[in-house]
Amino acid sequence: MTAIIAPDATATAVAVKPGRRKRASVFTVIAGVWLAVVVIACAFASLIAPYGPLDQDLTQVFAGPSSAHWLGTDSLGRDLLSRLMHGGQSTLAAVALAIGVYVILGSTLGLVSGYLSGTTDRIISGANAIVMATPHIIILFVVLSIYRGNVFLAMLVLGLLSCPVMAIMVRSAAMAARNELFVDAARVSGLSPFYIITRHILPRTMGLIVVQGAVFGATAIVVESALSFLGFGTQPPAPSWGNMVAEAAANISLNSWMLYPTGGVIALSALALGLIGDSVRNSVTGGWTEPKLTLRSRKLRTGSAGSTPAPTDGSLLSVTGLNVGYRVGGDIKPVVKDVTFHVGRGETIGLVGESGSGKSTVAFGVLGVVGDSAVVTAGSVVFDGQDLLGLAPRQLDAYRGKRIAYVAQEPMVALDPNFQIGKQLVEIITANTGLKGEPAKAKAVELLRLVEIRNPEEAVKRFPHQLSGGMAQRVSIAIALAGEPELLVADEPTTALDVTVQAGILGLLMKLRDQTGMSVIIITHDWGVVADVCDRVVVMYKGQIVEQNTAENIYRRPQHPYTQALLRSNPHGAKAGEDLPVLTGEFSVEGIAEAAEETSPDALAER
Amino acid sequence: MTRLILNRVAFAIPVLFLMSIITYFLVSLIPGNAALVILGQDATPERVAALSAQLKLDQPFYVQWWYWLMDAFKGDLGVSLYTGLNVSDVLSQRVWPTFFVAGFATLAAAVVGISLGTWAAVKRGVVAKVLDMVSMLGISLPNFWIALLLVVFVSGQLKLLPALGYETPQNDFGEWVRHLILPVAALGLAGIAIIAKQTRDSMSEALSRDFMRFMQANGISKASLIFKHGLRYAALPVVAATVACFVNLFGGTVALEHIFALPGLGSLVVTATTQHDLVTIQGAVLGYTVVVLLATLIGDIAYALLNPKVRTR
Repeated sequence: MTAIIAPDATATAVAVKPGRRKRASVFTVIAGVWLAVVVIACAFASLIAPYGPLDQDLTQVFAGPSSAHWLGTDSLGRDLLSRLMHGGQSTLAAVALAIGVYVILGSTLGLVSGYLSGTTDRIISGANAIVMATPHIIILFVVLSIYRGNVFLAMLVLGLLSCPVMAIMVRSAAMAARNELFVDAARVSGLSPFYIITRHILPRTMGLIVVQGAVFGATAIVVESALSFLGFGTQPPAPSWGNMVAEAAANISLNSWMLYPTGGVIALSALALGLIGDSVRNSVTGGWTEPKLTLRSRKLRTGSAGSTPAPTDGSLLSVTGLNVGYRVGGDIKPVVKDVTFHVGRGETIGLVGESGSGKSTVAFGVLGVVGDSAVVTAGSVVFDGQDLLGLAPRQLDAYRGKRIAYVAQEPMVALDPNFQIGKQLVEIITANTGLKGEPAKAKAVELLRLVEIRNPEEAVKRFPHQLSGGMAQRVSIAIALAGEPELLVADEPTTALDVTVQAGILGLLMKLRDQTGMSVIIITHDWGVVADVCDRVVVMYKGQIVEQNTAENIYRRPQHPYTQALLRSNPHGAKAGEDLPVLTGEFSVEGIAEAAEETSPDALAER
Repeated sequence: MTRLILNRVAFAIPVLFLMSIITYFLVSLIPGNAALVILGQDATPERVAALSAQLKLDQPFYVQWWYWLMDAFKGDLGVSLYTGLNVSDVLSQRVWPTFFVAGFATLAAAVVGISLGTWAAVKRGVVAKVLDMVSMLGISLPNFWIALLLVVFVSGQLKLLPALGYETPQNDFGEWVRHLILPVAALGLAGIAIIAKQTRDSMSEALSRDFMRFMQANGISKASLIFKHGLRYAALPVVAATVACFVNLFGGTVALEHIFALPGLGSLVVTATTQHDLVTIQGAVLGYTVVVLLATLIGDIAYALLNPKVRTR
C-alpha cells in the first residue's frame, strides 16, 4: 500500500471551470448568411427572380444599377441579377458535385490507406502520386471538348483529379489516430476495421475533412467559372457565372460595370466557403501554438517594482516580491506569487518543488524570457544593482548570455536542429564576446574541450540529431558558458538524461562553477542534487516560497509540512520493498510569511 | 541524394507513359475528325478518307499512340495535324511565356508571402486575422477576373501597361517586362495566399520550439532568432508550398493567356482541342507533365538539402 502524504485526509477536488465556448467570428456569420442567401436565391430563381434569364429589353442595354434592374443589364438588356440567379443553379450544383466526389472519395482513400497501411497504402499512395502529377486543367479541357458544355461531368472529373490532396492529408491524420492507445485497444479486442475506421478514426479526422472540403469548394467555384469563361462550360445564351464574366469581358471597352457583379458573386461565394473552412480549422486545431520566444519589445513588468529598494547586502541577484501570471483569455492567472530570494556571489541555490510549482517560471523571470503570454505583474529582479524587469528587452541583451546564462532541461530540443553545433557556438560566441571568424571557431573548440567532449574538432561539425542526450547537454553548457556569465540558471539540467550520465553532467557543472566562481541557481526536484551541490535551498509550492534555508538546515530541521513531505518522498532514501510515499492534496501556505521571515538570509545573518 | 533523384526519375517514366496513352484515349473520344477540320466542310468523303489514312486517323487510338511513342523515343513529337508545324518546335516556343508568367508569379508570391507570413507569426493577434482574410481573398478571387480588372484600370484608365500580347526578352527586354507585369500580378495573388499561410503556420511552429527560449536566454538577438533560426526551421514546408504553388500556377495560366493574348502552352491547348489536333495536344500534355515532374524533383532535392537528417545520412 502506498502511503499518501496529505495535509488532511480529504484531497481537495479540483474545480473544473466550464470550457469557454468559442464564439463564431462575425466574418464567419456573414459568410454563412451570404452562402445561404446565394443558395436560396439560385435554387428558387424561377420563383423569385424579377425577370426570366433570357428576357431582353433592347431599350435598356448596358444599364447601370437601378430600381428596375438592381445590378443593371447586359448587351441585350437582360437583367443581370436574374441571370446571375439562374446561372448560379448549374454552377452551384456542379460545385456541390465536385465537393461531394472530392470529400467522399478523398477521405475514404485516405482513411483506408492510413488505417490499413501496408500494400493497400502503397497502391493508393502510388496512384495518388500519379494523379497529382497530371495536368488537371488540360484533362478538363479534353473532357469538355468531348462532352461540350457538360459542366457536371467536368466537375466530377475535377473532384476525381483533386481528391489525392484530401487523401494524403486524411491519410496522415488517420495514421496518427491509428497509433493511439484506444484504437490499439479496439483492434486487439477484435473489432472490424470498418467499425474502427467509421467509429474511431473518422471522428478524429472530421475537422480536417470539413476544412479541406470547404477550401476545395472555393477552388471549384473558381475553376468552374474559369471553364465557362473560356467557353468550355454552359453555352450561351443560357447564363452561368463564368460565361457572364466572359460576356462582360467581350464588352469591356463599351461598359465595364457588368464585370463587377458577375465576378463579384464568384469571388464572394468562394471567399465565404473559404472563410467557413478557415474558422472550422481554427476551432479544430485550437488556434495558436505558444511561442517560446519572448517577442514583445516593451519591458517585462506591467505592475510596480514594489517598495523594496535594491539591496545593498552584496547579493549578485535579488529577486523581490516577484509575481508572474499567464494571460488566460482576458484574465491573468497568477503562477508565481510574491517570490523573494537572494543569490550571493559564488553561491549555489537550489530551487526545489514539485512540477507546476512555478520554479521554471521564476527562472524565466530572472532570464527575461517568460514568453509573450506571461506577464510580470509586480516585483523586481535586481542583478548587480540593476533592476532587469525595468529594462527594455533590447537592453536585456547586455545581460543575457553575457552575465546571466541558461541551461535547459531538454538538451535535445534546446539546440537548433538545423545548424551544426560549431555554427551555433560561434554565433553565441560572436554575440556575447564579439569574437569573429577563426578566433571564434577556436573558442568554440576550446569550449567543447572545457565541457569534456572528446574530439572537439570533429564534434563542431555534428548536427544536434547526431548527439547523445549527455553530449547535447554538454554542448548546451558550453553555449551557456560562452559569454563567461556570472550567474548560471540551470533548469533541471539532468532530469531528461539517462541516470548513468546524470552524475557526469552534475559533476561537470560543479567543476566549472568552482573554476569560474560563478553563482548557480539549480532548479531540481532531486534531493540528491540538492545535497550534493547546493549551499542554500528555496522550496516552492504552488507558486510561493514555503521555506528557504541552508541545505543542511533544510535536511535536518525542515519547518514547513510541505518540505517535510517532499523530503519523505525522496527516492534516494527509499528502502527496497517499501512503497514511496506519494504527495497529494493541498498544503496550507498559511504562516509561510513567518517561516520565511525566520529563515531569510537577513534573519540568519542576524543570528 | 542520388538515390532520391533516381527514385524520382523511375517514378516519372510510368507517369509519362500513362499520361500519353490516356490522352490518346480521351482525344479519340472527341467527336469529329481532324481530316475534316483540315480540309473544310466541303471536302469530298474520298479526300477526307485519303487524308485520314495518310495521317493514320483511321487506326484505333492505341495504334496511333504506338506510332507516336516510337517517334517520341527518337525525339520526334510529330507534326501538327492542323498547322503542319513541328510540335517540338512549337512547344519549345510556347513553353516560355507560360513558364515566365508562372515562374515570376511564384517568385513574387514567395517574396510577399514569406514576408507577410513571418510578420503575422510574430505579431499574431489582429495582424494574423487580417492575413487570414487576405489569404482567403487571394484564393477566392478568380485570376481571370483580377486580370480583367487590371486590364480595365491599369491598361484602360491609367494606360500604364499594355493589355495584350507578348514580346521575347531577346527582342526587347523592356517590352517583355512590361507585358509580363499584369499577368504575373493576376496569377501571383493566389500564390501569395498559399505561401503566406504556410509560412505563418511553420513560423509560429518554429517560434514555439524550446531552442528559441534557450538561445534567447543565452544572448542571441530576437532578429537572428526570427530571421535566421526561425526561417531556417520553417524553410522545409515553405519550400514545399512554393513548389506546389508553381505547379498550380503553371497549370492555371490558361484563362490569363486567353485574356492577355499570350502565346503560351495554355492557349496552345485550347486551340488544339477545338481543332482536334491530336498530335499537338499530346505534345502539350507531355510538356505540362514534364514541367510538373521537374518541379516536384526540384522540390525533393530542396527537401533533401534543407533537412540535415536526410543530408547527413
